[in-house]
Amino acid sequence: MTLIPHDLLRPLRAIHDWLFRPVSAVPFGLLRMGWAMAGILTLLPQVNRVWLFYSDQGVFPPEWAANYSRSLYRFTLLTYVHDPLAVQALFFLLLFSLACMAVGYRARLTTILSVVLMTSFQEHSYAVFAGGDSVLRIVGFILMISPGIGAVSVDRLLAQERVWIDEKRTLTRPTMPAWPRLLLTWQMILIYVTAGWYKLLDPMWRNGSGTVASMSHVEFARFGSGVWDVVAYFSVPLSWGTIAWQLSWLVFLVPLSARRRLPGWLRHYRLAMLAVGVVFHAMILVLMDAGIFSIAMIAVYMGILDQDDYDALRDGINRLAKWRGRIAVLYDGHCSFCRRTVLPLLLGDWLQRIMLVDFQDEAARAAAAPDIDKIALDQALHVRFPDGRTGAGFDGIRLLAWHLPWLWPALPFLYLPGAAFLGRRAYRRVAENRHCLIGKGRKC
Amino acid sequence: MIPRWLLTLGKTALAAFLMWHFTAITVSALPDRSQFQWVQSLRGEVLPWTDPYSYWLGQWQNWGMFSESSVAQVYKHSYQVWDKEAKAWKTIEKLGYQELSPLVSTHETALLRTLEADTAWLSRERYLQLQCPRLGLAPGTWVRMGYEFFTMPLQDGEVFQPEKWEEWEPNWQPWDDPHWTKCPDPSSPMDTWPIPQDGTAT
Repeated sequence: MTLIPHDLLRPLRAIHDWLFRPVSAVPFGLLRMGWAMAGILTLLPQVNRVWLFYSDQGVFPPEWAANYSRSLYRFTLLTYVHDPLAVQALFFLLLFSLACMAVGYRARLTTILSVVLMTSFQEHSYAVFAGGDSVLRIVGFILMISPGIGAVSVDRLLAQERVWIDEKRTLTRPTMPAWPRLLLTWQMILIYVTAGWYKLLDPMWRNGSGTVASMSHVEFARFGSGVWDVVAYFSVPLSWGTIAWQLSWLVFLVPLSARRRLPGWLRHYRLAMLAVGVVFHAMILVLMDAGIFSIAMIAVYMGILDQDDYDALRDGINRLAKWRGRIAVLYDGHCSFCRRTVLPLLLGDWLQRIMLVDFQDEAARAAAAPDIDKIALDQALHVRFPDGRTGAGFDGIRLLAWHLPWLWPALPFLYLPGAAFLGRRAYRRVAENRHCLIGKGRKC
Repeated sequence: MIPRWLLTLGKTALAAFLMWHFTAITVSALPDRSQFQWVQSLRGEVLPWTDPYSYWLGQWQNWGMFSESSVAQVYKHSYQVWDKEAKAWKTIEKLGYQELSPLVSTHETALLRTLEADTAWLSRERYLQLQCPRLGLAPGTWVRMGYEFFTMPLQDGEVFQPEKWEEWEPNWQPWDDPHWTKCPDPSSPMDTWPIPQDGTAT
């Protein structure tokens, strides 16, 4: 028997589910990576100016703090560290921490360290930072307190490798409570909606000159006045379009349960809005020097998508490419090196096109590729496409690379003249010695 | 195993914190220029409570960029030295935004914009002094920041006409820094460098 009336429990349960229902942690893992890379991009150009911006030998020595910053409620580690060498060391520590955070090495520790240091540098001299840096500072706090930021990381890869080698299974998909994503989504709504609101208060934007005035401002413009004379003709629709798009971010308040009840073509409107956002920020990036603002915003987009959005994106790409079925990757399950090698293929199978088959398992081999004999399989990794095409060794990996987005940057190199000759030789050599390379119970 | 009551307590505390955080960041982001009475009342009533939290944790925010008519004021900076013979200030290096390397322009531009402010004159003079060795200026040379600016034709209160924009050319106006300082001897300790305390050097 409960002491609390049932009617009172229902809204409490709804709030509990809203905040604490498990959601995929992958978007926040991607956000962590994007945040760290944007942080490196904004800080690297300052390397030679660290002493000038942050040390007591620069333009903002601590004794003049009242002249250039607020005196109340200000926390920065640079209050205690102001010698130029020490500040430089702290700056390099931040860059190192950001690099570790980007790849997800000791993800929790390096995220906290990066956010505290980044906030300290910004709070000491916010005069040298711009809008994109504010986005990083604010979102950094959310990352720091969020569970689940260890997804898509070296930490997880190492854990996954152990489980894969020992138990031949993958870890379950990482989850986290929903509240960090709600917090991040609300923060993005605030950024866009209040930016749109500010524009509505400004006569410059109301009469439609806002776009051309902002973009042709010599401080930000990347191109000469000729470009802006043309843009001026589109300034009115572009200005009002920008305001409308920014205010429309309120639709991100619609909860998942309500979105799932929408007709199919409308269900993924968030993806469409984010696509507009990517184009909008890419235009800003190309036309204006606004620091890392665009990059920071696009990085944050990765965190506000939910698994439904990512699934829809993947299905959309597969539909567009008219892709059906799975590619069977036949590998030697008795070889520790081979098991390790196929793991990245499995983890990086973002388009869900791969199926790993241990050819030592007779039944599995017979189901996937009954016509390829075991002797051939023992000599090289084979891939069998749903349409029957088959590739082996280097050629198989090259065919597979088209289906693994993280290998796309390598594709041009795999097709260079001579790459096939060298690749096949190298592959043969590795395959012949695969039992000697790594793993327990090596036998050569 | 965490006891159920402790888990419930933890979740309740977290929910309360999230409510607080939502409130703090929302009120902090509300446009300070809004003429809605409720916005001003909310900012007036809530900010004194939430500001310490927002500032301590770096959660303060204002998204009014590119929507202030101040964007219409465009400045260029330069270094100027006092030419004793001509008895006039002479520009020795322009710091127009196009002249700065794209790699450093974002932060350098933000710094120059900050140094424009009258309250930042101490930092401005320190900045000038730090540039003296790079510019090859002898200790004792008088330096100051030079400015040029123009105002964009925003056509306030009118229907925007692109033709007018196309015809218009910037009219750069000079604006003199009322503060100037002496290049120091770079080998001397920084705390002995001359920084005029009354706002002007004589």
